[in-house]
Amino acid sequence: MSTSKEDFLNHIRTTLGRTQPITTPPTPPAVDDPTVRLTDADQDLTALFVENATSTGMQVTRCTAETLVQSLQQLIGTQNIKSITFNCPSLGELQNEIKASLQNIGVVCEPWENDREMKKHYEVDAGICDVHAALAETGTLVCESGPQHARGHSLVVEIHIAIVKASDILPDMIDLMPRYNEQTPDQLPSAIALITGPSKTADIEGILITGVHGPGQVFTLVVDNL
Amino acid sequence: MTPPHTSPVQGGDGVELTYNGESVLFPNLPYNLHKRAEHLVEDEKIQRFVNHATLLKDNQRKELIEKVWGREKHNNLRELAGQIKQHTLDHLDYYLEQFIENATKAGVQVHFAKDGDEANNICLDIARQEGLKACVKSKSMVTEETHLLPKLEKAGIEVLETDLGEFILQLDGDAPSHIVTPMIHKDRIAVAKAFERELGAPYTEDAQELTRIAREYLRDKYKTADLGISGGNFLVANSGSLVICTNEGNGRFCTTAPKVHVAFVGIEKLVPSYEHLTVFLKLLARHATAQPLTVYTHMLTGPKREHEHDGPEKMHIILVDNGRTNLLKNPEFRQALRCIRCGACLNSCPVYRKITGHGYGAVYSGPIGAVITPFLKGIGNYKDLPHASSLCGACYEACPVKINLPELLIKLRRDQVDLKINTFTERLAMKGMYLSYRYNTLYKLAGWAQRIALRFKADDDGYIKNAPGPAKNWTRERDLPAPAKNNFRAWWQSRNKGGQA
Repeated sequence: MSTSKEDFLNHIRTTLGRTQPITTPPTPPAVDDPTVRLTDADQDLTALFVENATSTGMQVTRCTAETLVQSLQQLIGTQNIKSITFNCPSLGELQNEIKASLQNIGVVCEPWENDREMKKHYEVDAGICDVHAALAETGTLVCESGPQHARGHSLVVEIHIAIVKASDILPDMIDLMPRYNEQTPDQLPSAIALITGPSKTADIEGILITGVHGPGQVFTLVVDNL
Repeated sequence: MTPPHTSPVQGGDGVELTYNGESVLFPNLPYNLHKRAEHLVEDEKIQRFVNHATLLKDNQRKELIEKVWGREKHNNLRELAGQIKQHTLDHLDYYLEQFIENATKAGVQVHFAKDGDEANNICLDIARQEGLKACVKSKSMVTEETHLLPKLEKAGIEVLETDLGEFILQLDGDAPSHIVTPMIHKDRIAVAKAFERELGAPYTEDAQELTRIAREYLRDKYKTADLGISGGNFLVANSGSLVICTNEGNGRFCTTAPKVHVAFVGIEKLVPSYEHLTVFLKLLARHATAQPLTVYTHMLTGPKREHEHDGPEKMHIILVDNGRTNLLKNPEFRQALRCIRCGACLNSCPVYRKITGHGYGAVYSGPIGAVITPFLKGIGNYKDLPHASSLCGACYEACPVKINLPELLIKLRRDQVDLKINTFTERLAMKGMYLSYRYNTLYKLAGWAQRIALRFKADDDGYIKNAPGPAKNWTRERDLPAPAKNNFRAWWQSRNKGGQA
């Protein structure tokens, strides 16, 4: 049988030389902004994000709200994508426009909701999704699980297409974390994924290979005026 | 000169399963480092791989640190990181309790294991209760410590390591030799042979093709697995979150696809909040592999919610002690628990480069392994580890949380002396040295005897090729110049009296 919580904590307490639990919450060292921050808000965040995302191996294209559909179609064409899972609730009306235009060129949009086994994600060529945030500091996409977002979009598919609005881009990771302070543990998403490039390994003789388990290709479309 | 005969047992084509019949990571205790290390130092292939890989990683890290932060800013960040970890450790009972409360609120079942056997049994119980048969596992050093896999397999559960390096090691019956890049000691030919032998795949040495074979094989397993086992890089106390950092995506798959997720996490992995976590995320990947972040940083707070679409139905976290409280108890050594397992100290260490990971004969190798293994396994069982160091300090400089590893190694040596577990010969020699420094006559006598003996052993060219006693190891690789006929004092005195040098 396993150790009880009380015994486990008591053992640690006595190891630290205490007989009673701590009553006043201890104050941890402050996360000092100047010490931690690497990217300021007063830089060209979009350009910086594009630069850093590209150096992680993502293929990044800039476009506008007006040219987004066209850019997507081009991507679909060059990658020979026939089927997708699609999920971009934050694009509002644009979603319908995108779906209609893709259907016009014969792309099949598969349903994916409420499937714990993520079957459709295994079957399609690409997963298109929006992001909850993006980090200019590291070229990172932030994808949270939620009522309108599955983990599978950015995990199972061979090609991950992320649509990042310029307004999604935060300067530094230190700007992202305070968002989660407002939510209680049960309110937080069960999974927050920080994605920084296509799936990689260098286990075999240090040779860099992409596409191990996660998507082998990540295309990011940055929409300048959204 | 041929090394002592420690022939590794071959299993499968050219595969080394054990050293002299001893398990690689769990050798007979007390562990004799020298025997195994001699064999590894003579292995030209391993030396080439490990030297190349570690030097590359070490240089990349240094360049990146200079580029991203500059020395001063980096030092300030490391200092902060060290302090945050130290604070958390000093109040571990508080933060653990906070973590348990919050994780439970998020729907996690938290378990408590005082040692490895208990941790394994908890996992087996969960598997039994839920009727789980097929397991996919992402990399976890803790599960290496507890030696989980054989226990699961014995219970009839199929287990697959999904980290590419660990998968290959599992197929080949081998053991990891580095915290971050576990198969640093293996080449693609070994991989090709293993895949051909175990998976029936066509023989290829192309790394891309080999990876593709592994990907397809493992993808099938993700679809049918019902148990996902992971480790944890960090635990966030004020939200009850588990953070997993991988590059391949297997960490995300193992914690998403199967219906039950079980995580084994050491108690020292706690940080107070997401903001504090930021400090460590900024340092970890940059120190480990010169990346800004690992490709996937997965922050998990509980199982799939009602309104979500995918994720595990149940999530368990097993908090593991397994000797960590031995380190926690000792205020001098507590800082060793700050370790975030980046592997930078391994890459910087000239000794690691020579004896390689398996030379340490334990789950944790390199400078950090040399410090914590005596606490996890008994100081008398790993007597050689604190001495396998030139105290160059490269590890201290590389450490993102400023663990003073060289100082801790010296203190371990001191503890060995205090506990009288150093060898009788060493104690005798130290006593002799003390006496000769204490009494001038003895000092002179010792000096005279040494000069006579060494000059006797010298060849005609004035060099000793084969020194006696402890100096024997020195002359294996170099010639020792014989001392002069008279010592400096005698020369000085005779010179002042008008004599010749």
